[in-house]
Amino acid sequence: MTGTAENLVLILFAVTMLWVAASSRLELYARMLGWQGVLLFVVALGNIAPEEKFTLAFVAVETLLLKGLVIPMYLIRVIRRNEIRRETEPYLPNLYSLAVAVGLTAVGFVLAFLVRLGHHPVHPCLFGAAVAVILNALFILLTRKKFITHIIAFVFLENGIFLLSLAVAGEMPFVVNLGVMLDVFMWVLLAGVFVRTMKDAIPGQHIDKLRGLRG
Amino acid sequence: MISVLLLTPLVLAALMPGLRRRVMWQCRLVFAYAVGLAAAAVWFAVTGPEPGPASLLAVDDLSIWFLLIMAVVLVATTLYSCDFFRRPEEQETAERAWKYHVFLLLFVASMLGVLLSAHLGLLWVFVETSTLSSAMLVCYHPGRNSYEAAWKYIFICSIGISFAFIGIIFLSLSAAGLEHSSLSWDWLDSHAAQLNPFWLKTAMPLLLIGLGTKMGLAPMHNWLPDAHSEAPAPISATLSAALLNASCLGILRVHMILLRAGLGEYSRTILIVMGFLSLLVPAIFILRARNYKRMLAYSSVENMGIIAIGIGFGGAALFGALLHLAGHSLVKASFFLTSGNLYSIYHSKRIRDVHGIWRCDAMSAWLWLGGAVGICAFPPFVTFISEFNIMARMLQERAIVALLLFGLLLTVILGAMFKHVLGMVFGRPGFECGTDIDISDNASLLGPAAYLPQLVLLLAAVGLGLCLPDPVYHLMTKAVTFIGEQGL
Repeated sequence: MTGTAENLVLILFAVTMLWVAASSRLELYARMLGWQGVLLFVVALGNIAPEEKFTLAFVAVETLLLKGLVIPMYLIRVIRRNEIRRETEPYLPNLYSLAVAVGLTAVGFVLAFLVRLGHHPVHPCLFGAAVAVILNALFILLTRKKFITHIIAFVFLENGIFLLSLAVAGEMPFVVNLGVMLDVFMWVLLAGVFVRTMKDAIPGQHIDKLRGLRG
Repeated sequence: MISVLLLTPLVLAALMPGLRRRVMWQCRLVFAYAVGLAAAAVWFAVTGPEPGPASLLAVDDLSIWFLLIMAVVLVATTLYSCDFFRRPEEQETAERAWKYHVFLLLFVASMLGVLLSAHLGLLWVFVETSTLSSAMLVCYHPGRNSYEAAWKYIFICSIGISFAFIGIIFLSLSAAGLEHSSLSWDWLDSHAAQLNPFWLKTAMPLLLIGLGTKMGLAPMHNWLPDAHSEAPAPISATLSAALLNASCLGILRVHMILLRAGLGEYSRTILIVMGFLSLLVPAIFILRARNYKRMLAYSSVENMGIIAIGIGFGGAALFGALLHLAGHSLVKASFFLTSGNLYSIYHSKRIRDVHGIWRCDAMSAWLWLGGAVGICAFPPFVTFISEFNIMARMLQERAIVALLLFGLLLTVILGAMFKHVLGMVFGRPGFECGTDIDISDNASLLGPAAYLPQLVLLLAAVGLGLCLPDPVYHLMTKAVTFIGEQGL
């Protein structure tokens, strides 16, 4: 893949977060996760040598299958079962959220530019897109109330970290990569189970209802 | 040997569904494993470090100390469980006891993985696995509060651990351009001086935030009082006395890399600041505590702060920190297990509902008082010696302001702790909250295993305080030397 095409994919990856920031539809959030999984696979293709077939197959399973298909489908199922369609009453209206998300994306790319000035061994666009997604995921976590949105935001965070880790993919032994993948997958499954369990115990499924434990 | 240690709990976990109707057999099996683990830890202490499979796992001079502490705590908590599952309030959940033991065994395996990891990436995987497995234990008793605690635990810790992973990526970047670079402790240890200081300095706070969240250091401690107060007593004890230590080992290993890279001062400053914050938070919250298990949890935050300060000051204070790890684990495990007795007697976690333990159950009262005296570092407990070492190092470094602040915050915490503990021990016991059941009758339901583990743990803490045996002293000096600190 040429540098320009890769940069375009990376920018598209960062832009998915703007869409999320501007919307309140939970299924759209989950679908964006799926698209991010596909885009991650495309970026990974450009960073892995063609002769490393085993690594390529592993990354395909991790990105296309898990991040692109299984996790979004599972989350959509949880959303439908819990009968929650929208992120109502966010701490910040969607228009302001979009403005902040644009700012955070800019911060990510400015940081990448600064790092590049220091002649560090980092792909600037990859670094910028990863930091932008991580910052935006944290922003979604802080400004949304539904449990399910928090789970989705956590997976966005993990996607940003995955992109960042592509810069150093060669450092991790296979066992570690496998462990990281399984941990993230188990985390999503477990969190989904918690959301279903807490459906009756905590009305509205809002994070600000979690104030029972004090003193 | 290392593979056997890690695989045994997984095999036992697979056996548990077959024992679903035999709760006592489940308890005995897990207890037998804990005894075996303790024997293996002693074996490692005698024979020394051992490499593991594929250079990803290993026992070294540092992990032996942590392994010993964890094994002792597990023996005590699993023995206590033998009585815990006999109690009337646990009969409702007896059918789910096998799930408790499955997740406990997975939790133990993941904590062992953290201790035995020879690779930073693998350590991260095991830390995250320990969160997932223990979250199910936190909400073992279903209810709104336990779900809330488990949710906060899993979320706050996972986000913290994600930051640690970003730190690991930055640490990898610091090694970019070096031949055969790896994140194994051995490689990082031998090449630390060649790592890029910019990425190393960027990685350190992220790794500290991540592992510090799991260790319960302020300001990322919020999950800890909730999770520890809602978990069943043996799990609270294991979380506080073993899991926090495992995360501390991760922090120590990262600190070691910075020491070797000549960035020790940077790392020390962050640890000392976080340590003092971790003393300040409990000083405020223990005074206002309404729930005795939350009081103990805040005390864990305090003690992790003391340990972070000890690591930060280095030298004799590092020795003190390692000793404090053991002291805190022994005393806090005992304290949490005794809190399980109090819950079985009073059926309440509120401090205001618990009076006159002395009249209801003298043995629990002694153990409760012993726990308070030990955790507040009174002589002859080993915690006194460890805190004395840390303060002596501060004096040696002429950090008078730090010494005064340390003393002041510990005194406030001591005062607050004893205000609650003495109020609970003395006074007249009444009836169970909202019922006409005489509380004194509930105490007769507790068996010997509800007291013996705490008694042994407290005696061990006193024994270490009165006379540190030579083998233990050598084990600790080896660990301090391994970290690379001077000035013992």
